[in-house]
Formats: sequence, structure tokens, C-alpha cells
Amino acid sequence: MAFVQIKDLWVTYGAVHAVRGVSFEIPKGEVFGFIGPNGAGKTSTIKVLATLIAPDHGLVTIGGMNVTDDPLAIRKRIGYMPDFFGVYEDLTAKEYLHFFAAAYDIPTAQRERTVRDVLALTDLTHKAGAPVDSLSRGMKQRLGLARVLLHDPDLLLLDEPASGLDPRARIEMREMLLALKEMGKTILISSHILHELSLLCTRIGIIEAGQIVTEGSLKDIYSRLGLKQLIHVQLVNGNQSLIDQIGRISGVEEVQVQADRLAIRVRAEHLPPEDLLDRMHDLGARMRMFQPEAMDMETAFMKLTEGRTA
Amino acid sequence: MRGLARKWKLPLLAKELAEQAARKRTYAIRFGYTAFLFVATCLLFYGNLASDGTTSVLGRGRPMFNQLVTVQFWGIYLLLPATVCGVISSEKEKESLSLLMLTTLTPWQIVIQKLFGRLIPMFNFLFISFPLMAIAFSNGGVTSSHLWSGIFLLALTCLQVGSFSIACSAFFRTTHEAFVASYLCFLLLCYMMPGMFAPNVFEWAETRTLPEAIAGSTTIIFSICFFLFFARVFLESRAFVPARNYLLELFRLLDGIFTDMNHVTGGIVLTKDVDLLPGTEPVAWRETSKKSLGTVRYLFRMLVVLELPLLWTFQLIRGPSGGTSVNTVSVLLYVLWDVSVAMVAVHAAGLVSSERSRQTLDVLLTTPISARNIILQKFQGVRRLICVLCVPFLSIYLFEKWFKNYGWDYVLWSTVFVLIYLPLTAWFSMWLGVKIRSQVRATLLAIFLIVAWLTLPLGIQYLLATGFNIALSGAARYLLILSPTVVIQRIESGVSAVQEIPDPAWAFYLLNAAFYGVLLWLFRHISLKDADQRLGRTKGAAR
Repeated sequence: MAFVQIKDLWVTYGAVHAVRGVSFEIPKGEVFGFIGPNGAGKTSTIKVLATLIAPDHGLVTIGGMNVTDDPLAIRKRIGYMPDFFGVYEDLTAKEYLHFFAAAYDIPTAQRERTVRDVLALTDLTHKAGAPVDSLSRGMKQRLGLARVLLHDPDLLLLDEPASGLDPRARIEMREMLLALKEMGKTILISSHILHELSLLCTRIGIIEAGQIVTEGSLKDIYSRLGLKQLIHVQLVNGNQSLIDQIGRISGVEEVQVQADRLAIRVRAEHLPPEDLLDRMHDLGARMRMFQPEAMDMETAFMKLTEGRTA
Repeated sequence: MRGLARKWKLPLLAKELAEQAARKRTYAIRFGYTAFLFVATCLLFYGNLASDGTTSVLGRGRPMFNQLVTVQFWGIYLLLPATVCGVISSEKEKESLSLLMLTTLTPWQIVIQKLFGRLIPMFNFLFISFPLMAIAFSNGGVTSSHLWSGIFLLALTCLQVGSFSIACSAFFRTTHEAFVASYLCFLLLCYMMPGMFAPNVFEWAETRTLPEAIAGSTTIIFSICFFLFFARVFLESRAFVPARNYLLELFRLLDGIFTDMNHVTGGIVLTKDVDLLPGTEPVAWRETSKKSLGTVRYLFRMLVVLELPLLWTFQLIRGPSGGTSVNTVSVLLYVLWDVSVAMVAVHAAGLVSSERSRQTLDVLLTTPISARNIILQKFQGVRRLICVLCVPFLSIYLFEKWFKNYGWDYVLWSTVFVLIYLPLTAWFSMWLGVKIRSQVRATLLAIFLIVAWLTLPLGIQYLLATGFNIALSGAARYLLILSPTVVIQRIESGVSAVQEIPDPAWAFYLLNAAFYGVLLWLFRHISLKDADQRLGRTKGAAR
């Protein structure tokens, strides 16, 4: 049974149906990327899972528990990081984490160690005594993540965790999320940075105008859409004859000669990158670089959505 | 010509006026203000005109006109700061000021257009009173100079109060701070420089010509220029200042001074700070150990600030010279009530609404603490504040019991009402803070409703007495018993000296205490009932 189950979820604000019959499942230990244009209903769906909004209709369960039946028990099992969140400017980073450790009923004897661990995990140990308000945006996001991890939740609900971060902070955030993925956490993450989601997520769901447009593993979605994968190759012995031979390999759609490399588009379901590598090797190609690009999620997103809002 | 037309387009002013026109509360305020102005003025006029024949009223226009202008002055002083104080600070809070400053609008244009966006509706309120002025003028006694002086000074007051409030708005980071400063600092300025206070100039100009009145308003005109200049300077220099807790900073500054002095006094420590971390009630911990109005050390300091003038006054009264009237203590008591109610209301209204406006509430609501518990824990800081405020109240009551030979019933009833009214103020403001999303709006509404409730019975009493020459009698007297203002005044003037309250007085005090006790329970109950939904999450079992 899936760890998170959403069936026919409806959320309404006055006359506006923000979420209209959304259904998807997240198995335990998976990282689910939730993608959609602004106003598509992502945050509303996440807020239902975070027990902040009651669904108007539908079934939402986490670990087999209905979120409306026992929200208190659900809160102990989830960690929620909203898209925008403030911090208490009168507390230091350590006090802030102790505040939430107490709020999550972590035994007093364990708190110091727990806080120290999450500070270390998020690389904020050196900022433990700094006022929260003096931290940079990236550090505040990391502190938010540290807070989310305090009570060791089964499910992390991360709404745009990388929004507004500079490239370095974004990469650091991605690394941390990868570490959490390795730890076996179930994560639902919404983001607009599709390339990063494709590096993190095992499954994605694309939502538009309050409805799920498509859902499944990345491979499934690409294959459903017939999308091509781009592979960058640098040849030491690249000549026109070899390039022509590569273009004739079954599964290769296009070979584009660029200034310092070849850009090869392949149908990934027919020709995985490792097979292409073998075939090129058989053709006598000597390679300096073979770099498959992450699947082109932006193309998938643009192909599936029209920019409508609920 | 086209350039001139573009210059006079006033895009910001147009936007401000369009925004206000789209808000429901603009019409509610307009209706409330005009209704109050017309009812109050008509009653005052009726009192001046109704009693005698038609010829005897000739020449009575002057007191009528003066009363009308006075009402308008107070309308401006009370209403305008609240409407102007947020015009720039709200842009800072929404982080949209930078966008505004990137446009081709100059800082002067921004200040002036923003200011007139609020002054134009205020001028409307002044125009509305013109028919009433005409009635006063037609009764004779008002010279045209006096008429024009009144209109001129009212317009000038709008500009003065507006420019001061916009300077506060440009200086402070949040509307909340700008709001408090607009009222407090202006009050202080007028107290220190009476020439800046337009009603004083109006009184002085009563028998003078218009040019003399204008010359007498020089201080006001200069103050407008100063305030506008500072508004323009602050607009740029303080556009991107971070939010600051001025009270906490002041306390920390004092901490530094006291720490330095401690070397001299030999290291005496009255309340030692222990670096504690939260136990089982984190929200209460933050309210009582991190907030300026919750920490023991800072509350103690506030107690000293409140208590010292009282002790000084007591000393003067009981001293051999007897230089200060015993009534001064009563005045101090009323001031203490005003300060205490304002502090409690502002603090309680901001408990939940500040979490909302700082976007910290959602995160708190996903923790397993029940919403009821969050509210109760948050209230602990207010409770501590109320306890501290009780000390100066008790000091006054015990001094008066001793000095005026009042009985213990005076102390008992007075203390009972402190213990009912202050928590009631707190729970009522808290309830508004839970209901209303904006901290500024919650605070403003809480203070407005409390002031309205406190002044309404006395206002009605005054208008009935002045307008219709109706002294309160019979059932109307009993209704006044429900007013906290009346009860506090009557207890203060001595339990046995009560005139409006028929014997036995204690029965009516009991009635009042019971009524407000029930209200206290009611507001506490509705603040805690369904707290989960009110705060914004699905209902859970209590922890």
C-alpha cells in the first residue's frame, strides 16, 4: 500500500475550485516531484497533507491514516516547509530549533543531541548562536529544513524549498535532499526548477488548473510523450564518416555537430545511453566525454500544460 | 502642453484614490464619520436653539460654530493619523517601495501624492460640515474672519497631522510602529509646543482678523514644512531598513548602562537572567522570556517607570507643603487606566495576528500542539503584563484608602474591576487578533472599539444634557451603570458619594462586575472554542 494516498481530492475557496479531483500515490521512500504552473493547486494539495486545510471532498491518507480523522497523529509523522515562512527574530538558531523540539514533544534529555545533529546535517553548527534574523536566505531555508527534520518525520512536505536561493545555496539544498533520499525518507517536493527535480525525483505529478495532467515515473512519462534524451559526446577521432555511422544507429534520432561536441538525440526507451556507448565503441569511436543530459522535463512540462489556472 | 498634462496625471494619487474607492471600509468610515458629525452637531445646535424664541437665538452662532470646529479638530486628530500612518510603511512591509522608487516619480512626488491620497477624503469630511457651518453663520455672531480662520485652521490641521503621520510612516519599518508613533509623538509635540496645537490658535484667533490668524499659525505652517521635508528624507534614507523592536532595543540599551553601573554598585543583581531553553511549553517560553513585554527583567523595569511617578506624587501630597492636590492621584489613576488598557490591547491583539503577518503561524500549526494550547500559552505573556500592571493600581488604591479614609470596600471593588476589565480587554483584543488577519487592523479595531464603548455612554449623556437639557433619570441611569468609565469614576469619587447610582451602590457594582465577568468568560470561550479552525488548520484532539 502507498504511504501517501490521495483520491479524488477537492479543495474550494469560496467559488474557486483550487483542487479538482486530484488523485495520486507516493510509495514509501520515494521522492515525488509536484510540478505545475502558479495557481495550479500544488500548495493547496500540500496544505491538505499538512493538516492546514480540510479537504472539501476526497480521501487523503498518510501511512494509512486519514488526515481528517486524526490530524494530531499526522502532524507527528510529517515535516512541512512552506514556500514562504517567517522566523522568530528574537531567537537564535539553536533556540529556534529547541523551540520546535519542545513543540514536537521531543524528550528534554534528547533535545540537545537532536538539535546538534540537525544543525550538523544542515551545516549550520557554526551559526547555532546567531540570531535567526541575521541568517541569509539560504541559511534560513536550511534552518527550515533542520526544523523539519527534528522529530524524524516519515514524510517531508517541501513547498518550493529552493525558491529565491542563489545557485550555491540551491546546489547545497539539492545535496541535502539527496542525502535525505538516501536515508529513505518519503518526500513530496514542489518546485519550479524542473532540472533539479529531475535529478531528485523518482516520480512526478504534473498538475494544472487543479487537475493532475500526468503522474508516474520519469521514464514512463517520457516514454508516454515520446520525448528524446540528449547526450553530449566529444570524439577524439571524430570524422564525417563516423558521425554518419552514429546517425544510422537504431534509436538515434538526430546527430548535431556543435563547436566542440556532438549533440545526439536518442529515443531513450529504445536506446538507453549505455547501449549507445557500446555501439559507438563498436564503431571505433574514441571518446573524451560521454554525458547524457537529464531527461528534458521542461519539454514534458510545456507539452502537458497550457498555463491555465484553477 | 502634453508635458504639462503628463506632469499632472498624478498616477500614484489616482491609484491611491481608486484603491480606497474599491474598499468597503472607506464607505463604512465615511458613513460613520458623517453620521456622528451630523448627529453630534445637530444635538449641540438643538441645545443652543431650542429653549427660547426665534429672536433670542440671534447671535448664538458663535458658540455653535466653535463647537462644530472643535468636533472637526478632534475628528482630524483621531482619524487622520490612523489613515496616513500606513501609506509608506505598508509599501515597505509588502516590499513594493523599491519598485515605486524605480519609477520616474521623484521622492517629493511620492510623498505628496501619497499624502493627498489620504487628505482628499479628509477634506471631504470638512466640506461635509459646510452646511452646518452655514447654519451657525446664519444665526449671527460669527464674523467672516472667524469663519475663514476656522476653515483655514481646519485645513492646516489636516496638512499638519497628515505630514507628521507620513513622516512617521516613512521613518518606521512597520505600520504598527508608525501608528503608535503618529499618535504618541504628536501628542508629546503639542504638549511641549502649544503653538503647534491648532485649537489653541483657533481660540486665540477668535477676535482677530484672518491675516492675523494666518500670522498666528506660523508655527503650524513651519511644522508642516519640516514634517514634509523629513518625510522626503526618510523615504529614501529609511526605505530598506530592517524591522526593529524599538522597545526591546531601548531595554537592551538600558541593560548596557545598568551593567556598566553595576561595577560601581558592587555587582548587585536583582533579577538574574538564566539562559534557559524551552521546557514543555515552548510558546509560553517565548512569550515570557523573549518578548519585551513578557520578560521578568523588562517588566520589572516597566513597573519602576510606572510606579516611580506614583510614589513621587504620594510623597508630595502627604508632605508638609501639601503642594499637590489629592485629585492628582485620581488623574494619575485615569492615566494609568488609559495606559494599561492600551498596552494590554496592543499586546493581546498582536499575539496571533503578528504570527500571521510574519508568516510563522503555518509552521507552528503543523506541530502537534493544539490551537487551544497555543492560544493559552501565548496568553501567558499578557497575563504576566496584567499582573505587573496591578501593582501601580493597588498602590493608588491603598494610598487613597489611607489618605482619603476610604473603606476597604473601595479597595475591594476597585481591585475587582481591575481584575475583570484588564483580562476582558486582553481576551477581546486577542479574539479580534485571531479573527482579523492583519496585525495593524486588529490593533486599530481593538482600540477603536474599546474607546468607542468607553466613551459612548458618556457621549450620549453629554449630548442629551447639552442638546435636550435632559438630565439622566430613571431607567437611563441604570444603563450607565453598565459603563466601565462611569463605574471607575464613581468608585474613585468615593463609594458613599455616588449620586447617579441609587442605593445600595454595591448592588450596581455587583451587576456591572457580573455583566463584564460574563463578557470576559464569553470572549475567552469563543477565542478558545474551535481554535483550530480559527487559527487555520483542521481540528485535532487537544494535547
